[in-house]
Amino acid sequence: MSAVATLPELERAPEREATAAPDTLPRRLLDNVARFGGRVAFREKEFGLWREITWRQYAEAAAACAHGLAALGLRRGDVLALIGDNRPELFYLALGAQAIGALSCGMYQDSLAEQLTELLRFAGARFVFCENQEQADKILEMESALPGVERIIVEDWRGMWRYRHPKLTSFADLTASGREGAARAPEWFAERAGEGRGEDVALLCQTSGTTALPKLAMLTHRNLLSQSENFLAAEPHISPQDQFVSYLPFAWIGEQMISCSLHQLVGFTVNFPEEPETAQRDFREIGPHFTFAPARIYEGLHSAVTVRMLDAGPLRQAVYGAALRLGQGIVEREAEGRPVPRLRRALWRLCYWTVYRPLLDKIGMTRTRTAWNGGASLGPDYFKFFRGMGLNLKQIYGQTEIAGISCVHRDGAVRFWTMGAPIAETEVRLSGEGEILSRSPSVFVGYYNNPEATAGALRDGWLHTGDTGTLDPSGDVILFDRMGDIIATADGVAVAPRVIEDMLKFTPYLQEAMVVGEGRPYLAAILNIDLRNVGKWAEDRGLAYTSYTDLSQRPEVLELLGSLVRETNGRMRPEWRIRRFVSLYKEFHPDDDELTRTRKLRRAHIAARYADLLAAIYEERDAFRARFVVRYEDGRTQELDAVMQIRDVPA
Amino acid sequence: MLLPFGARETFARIEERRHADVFRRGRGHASAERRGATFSLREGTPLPRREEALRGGPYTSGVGAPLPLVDDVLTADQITLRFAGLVAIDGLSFSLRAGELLGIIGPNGAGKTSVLNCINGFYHPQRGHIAFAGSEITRMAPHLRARLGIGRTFQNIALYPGMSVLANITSGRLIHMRAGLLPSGLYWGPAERELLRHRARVEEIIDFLEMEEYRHHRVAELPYGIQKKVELGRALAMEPRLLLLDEPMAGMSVDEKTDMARYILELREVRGLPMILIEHDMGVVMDLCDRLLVMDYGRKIADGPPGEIQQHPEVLRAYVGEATVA
Repeated sequence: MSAVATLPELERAPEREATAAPDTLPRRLLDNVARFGGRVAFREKEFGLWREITWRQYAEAAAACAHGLAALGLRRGDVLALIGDNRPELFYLALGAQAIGALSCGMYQDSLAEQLTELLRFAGARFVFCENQEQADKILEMESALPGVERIIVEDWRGMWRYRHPKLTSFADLTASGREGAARAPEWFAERAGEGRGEDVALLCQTSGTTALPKLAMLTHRNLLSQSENFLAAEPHISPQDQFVSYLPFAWIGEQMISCSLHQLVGFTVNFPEEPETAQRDFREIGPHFTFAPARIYEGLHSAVTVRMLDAGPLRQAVYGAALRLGQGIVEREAEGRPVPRLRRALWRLCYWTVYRPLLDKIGMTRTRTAWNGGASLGPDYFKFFRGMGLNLKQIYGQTEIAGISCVHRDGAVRFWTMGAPIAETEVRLSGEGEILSRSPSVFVGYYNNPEATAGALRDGWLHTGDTGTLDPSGDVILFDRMGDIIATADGVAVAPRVIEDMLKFTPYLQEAMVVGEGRPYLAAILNIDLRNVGKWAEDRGLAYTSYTDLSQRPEVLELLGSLVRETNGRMRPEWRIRRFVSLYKEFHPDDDELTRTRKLRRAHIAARYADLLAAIYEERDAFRARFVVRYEDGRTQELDAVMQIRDVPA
Repeated sequence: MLLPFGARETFARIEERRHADVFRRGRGHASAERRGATFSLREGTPLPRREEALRGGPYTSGVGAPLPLVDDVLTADQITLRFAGLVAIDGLSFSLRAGELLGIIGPNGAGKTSVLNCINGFYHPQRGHIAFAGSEITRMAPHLRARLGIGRTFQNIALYPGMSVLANITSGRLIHMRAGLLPSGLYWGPAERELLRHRARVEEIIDFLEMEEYRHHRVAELPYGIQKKVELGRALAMEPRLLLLDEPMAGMSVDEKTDMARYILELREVRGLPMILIEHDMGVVMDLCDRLLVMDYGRKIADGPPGEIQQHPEVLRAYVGEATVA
């Protein structure tokens, strides 16, 4: 086994000519006006219609933003925080700020006011852009704690007709003054953009922070663009004619990577849904050629399809079930490199047109050439499900610190238990402790204002990812889990909880699961039921319930969960089996710091928060009475008193 | 047989695509329409739009622009309404000023809804006069009053349950539709352009009420609170000059009430739409209304700003019983 993962044959690093293409994002944008001009860069749904924005308009709007921001006093090295749903305006502002040497920093729009405040203080943001009143209220509420914020720019002024705060500026005023400035000095934007260099920091990107407070990774223009170039070498099919739908948080590196840097590089069209609530329908209207999403999206799609099929008649259910088994069988054979009989291939074709394709149409993926899963890993069952239907689902592996991607599955070599092979100019090796280390031109320059964390993550140019894994003989990277998340039971068995959880969650009835057992004699699981699907399951059986808490503790539901866990246990080696489980009275939630904003478990925090519950599990008690304070998004709190049953898993 | 999508849906998608295509083709016309297309309930009070903002247009000019100060929008003079022996309204007089939000409160059976029915013409009072924008409307038929600009929502939802949200709101545009049966049926020429113009108006209302998500949902499948919003949307589609709201928040959750209150406030603050509101939630009424009219047994027992009404002894006795109001 080689110690270093290698690039698949035939894939070469992109050649960079001496007369290099523009190496900053704003200069790329100007270059794209010449390349694409009147072609559609963005499409945004408004008033029920798709409104098109050309590359020329994109550049003009970015220039207006740059003028406007500079006129308000934004300078080189300042930080502009951006809070809002994905809209072209966020990109205009980001590019405008980057052109004058400022840094953009996206923030999750569903964060609580306190969480935003902490981040804004830490980033030292001078300007904050808020999409609407909701976001502006959060900032204004905490204004006294944010002396560094000098301007609050608000796009949608609706509901704010009485707001007279001196720091408030409307986005319209900003662009209006910016356009005047641009009319007076048409060359100014290009000159400012020309001063930028590839090694300038372009943006601060929040890392998901499963273990501690989020950190802000500093990524340069070169990090971002080299990352996209190397990714494109692995996925050369992406073309300017393609459609992409941008609906995942702007603050997430995955969205930055595709909708910003890859977009600048290739010039496809990025489409923005009307509202987050209409994203699914709008996604289907566009029918994107490629899509990139975290695991929870695929988990959600799978559960939506599964639950809808439960409503179908017996004939359809039977055909659907048979078709799925056929597809999955073929995927397994292909992954293991075994031949697929010709008759099965023919049957699969038939099923494609009669079953799979109509299903893919429902989720807007009939045109999708490639769907990547990134952010968190996806269980192998999901791969079999989607790939069996003919959706080319592939895994991406990477971190914010490496601008998003270090490994990806290659077509024809999708071994769904791996993370794929490194992309061009990227080296991956293992440290002595089994930690995955990566090195590439996309490795970040450090954490903002946090030299200790930087020293920990960045040593001799190698990014220490904090993940443990191994290398497949084929050169693919195999991920076990986060270093700190590996569980060692009392008998010294090492368990990667993620693997078990991914298998557990392959049912529409479970929303989330966390496996525990560090230093304990056996493993246990804390389960979150999926309210919608379990609710429907209960209704179909005539079971009445009042709330999530009530439903989660119904004896019938606990029976259901017990059988699900037992089923998973059956596919697990004995020492990885779950002996006891509890159905939590509430869902894990980012507002309670139990999940990150990208919906990853924050294990240490959960273990601390539910320490008493864990103790009860291992004291072999049958029930646990919990008193918790629940916090709602609007800041209200409520005290809850719930009795949770602790069940043994039937053997 | 195995195709899980129905023909009906496919047709809907084709129509949708066509709507978009036509809109794009007829750009000169359509976008000109849309540029000014800020659904102005009153002439000259356009709402700021992101599009305009991007173009550097006048973003704030419309907000809070002074309204032409006309006299009373609506006056009711000594109206009396009787059903056989029962006196529903007994010599009631009141007036509504431009841009004012008037609340009518009173115990059940006090005659509140009857007042609205007299204003929009469902009932004709036996005595007294009602004038709207200076002209006498006491004997006018309801549909003519609607055409004059009196819009309303109903206490019990009165929508077309089998139709989509879009269709229900569009039905409010009917009074503005001019194309004949044949061109409309063929969706041809001027009829097509007209329909697209109406659609643009409807979309602005959907945006205003934040109902993008439900555009294509059948009304019957929607929760009660959303149906109430559709009712308001349909009334707004008429482009009313006076809006009558009959318990718009009844049966709503706190969050839905807050939303509805926001819409009502925005209609008043930004668009200066005069409204009459019947509502049982005292907190809402006290917070929102400029002035309150208190009724009991068909008579007016008090009339004044909320602060005054709260202290009015007659009101405390009739409406709240003997208990004191905090």
